[in-house]
Amino acid sequence: MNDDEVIPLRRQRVADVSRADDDAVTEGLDQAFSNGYDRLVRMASIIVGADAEDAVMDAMLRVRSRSRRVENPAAYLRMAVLNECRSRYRRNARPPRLMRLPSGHGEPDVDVIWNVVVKLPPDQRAVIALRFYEDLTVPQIAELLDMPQGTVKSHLHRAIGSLRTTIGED
Amino acid sequence: MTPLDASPPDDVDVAAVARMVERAAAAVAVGPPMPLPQALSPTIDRPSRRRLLVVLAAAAAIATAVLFANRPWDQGSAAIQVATGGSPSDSSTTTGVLGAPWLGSARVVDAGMEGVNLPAISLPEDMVAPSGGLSPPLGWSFTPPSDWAGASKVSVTGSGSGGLVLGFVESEDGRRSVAMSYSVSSVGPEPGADALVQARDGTPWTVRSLDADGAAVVAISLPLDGNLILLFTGLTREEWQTILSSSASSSVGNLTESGDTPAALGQSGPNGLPADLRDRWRVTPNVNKRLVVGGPDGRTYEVHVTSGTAPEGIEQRVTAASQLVGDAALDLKSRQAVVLDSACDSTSGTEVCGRLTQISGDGHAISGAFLSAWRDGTRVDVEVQIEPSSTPIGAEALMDEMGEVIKGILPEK
Repeated sequence: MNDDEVIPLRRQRVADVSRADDDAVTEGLDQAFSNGYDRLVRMASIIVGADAEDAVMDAMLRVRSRSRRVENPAAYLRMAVLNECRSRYRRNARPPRLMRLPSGHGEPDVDVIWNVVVKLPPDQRAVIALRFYEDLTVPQIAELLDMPQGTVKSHLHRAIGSLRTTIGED
Repeated sequence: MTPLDASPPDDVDVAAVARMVERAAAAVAVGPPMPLPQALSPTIDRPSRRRLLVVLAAAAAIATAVLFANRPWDQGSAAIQVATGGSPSDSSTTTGVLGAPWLGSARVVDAGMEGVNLPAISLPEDMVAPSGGLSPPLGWSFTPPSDWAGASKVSVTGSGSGGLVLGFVESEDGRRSVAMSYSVSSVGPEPGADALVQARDGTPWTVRSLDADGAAVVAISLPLDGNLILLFTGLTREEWQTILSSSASSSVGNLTESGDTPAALGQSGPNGLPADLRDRWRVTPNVNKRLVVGGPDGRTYEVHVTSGTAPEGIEQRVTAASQLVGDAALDLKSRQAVVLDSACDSTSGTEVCGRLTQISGDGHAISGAFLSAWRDGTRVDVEVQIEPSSTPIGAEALMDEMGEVIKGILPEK
């Protein structure tokens, strides 16, 4: 993912549009949603576990309800999903429920990994989702999460430490 | 900021963790996304729509409170008498009785999903369903005989779920009322154990006339526990005044006294959803449902039911949002109201059921969702979410809040 794709919500050029433009705006979002749904769900699953699909859907419905034109619907939608995920874990301090994994997914250690991931603090989950799944840089993550870069690094460091233990036990 | 309690990760760690996260995420089973609603094309501005939605939600909450406070099903003779029940087999039977003096057409509305085997319909007294009575099309209607009166029955029998019936009963002078609705999928605990619900004759909520300007619409929903949900809209100030003056301060939480357990639609097996519907409803071990149901107008409605955690400690809580699909909702001028679907899930060990009703109209994208939720057969919450993704609030809070809104538009007594 290149840097151009990372456009935080607040930096996006967002403009209210007339009703006549609604369809075009919605079409762009729908396209981004359709193309990126799996990836958005997987990213969200790292952060909110089994609520990922709900989070993505809720985020999509929310952004669709706004009549705004954005220059990068995919990034806008990802930001909305991220915000929805963060909103959810702020409302619920408990660890997320594990995502549904298909039986026979052929990755016996994946279950172990997920068990570690869901026990990470929520900000750490968000950071590793963005860093290792979305492949964003620390500055980009800091921008998206509205955190100092040092805090992002700290979260990253701690999450890696936890996951490294898993690797070691693997 | 450098953490003090861990050694710095080296590149190998980072690469390994990255692979690990990638693999874990890749293993997640992602189903197809829900169909997205078509873009709304509001012909009234958003603030107006919001205000109207607030009124609709308030009306629903207040009407519910009034109804439950008065327990009309315990009283008097019934102008509308509807029984739900059935046998714990592949089929369920629901019988509604439309009483006199209403004459005219009644209408069967399948608010279920496409493919739901909306059941055979058998109509006694020479009322024969078309096409052998199977899966009546949306809007299928019949006209009872002119002498249809008294305990005429409309029986709906079959399997599946999600089917709902609304009876639109029209008086001789052309006024039409929504007379009844019930879930076809209502499977009673045992044969004959019908939950009889009676609505008082002559009460404002049982039979509302629909006058020329669409002054009132009433939808009566009969969930399995015998609760009624009514939705009012377009009431005049005087009507509001009547409702408010008769309203008791009953809380929804005390309204249950349930005799029946909601049908376990989320379960597999003879009483549950067929496997293909479970997949389509995406019933997971937790309440996580998105329902797409067809409305009587042929449009599609999406209902999004999610799980959550209530701060009061209720582990399972159902919230609902409804998203209108299509560029217009039901047209109030066509005098239609629709009760959306119900859904239950018990695979997590705790049965959670939600039932949504929705009324919308005015030819615009207007919707109000009403949800009843049960946990292990006990009603735990009622929430109304009047716009997608808005924060649900509890029924009591809603009534308090919306009651103030309504009172604010009423003249002083």
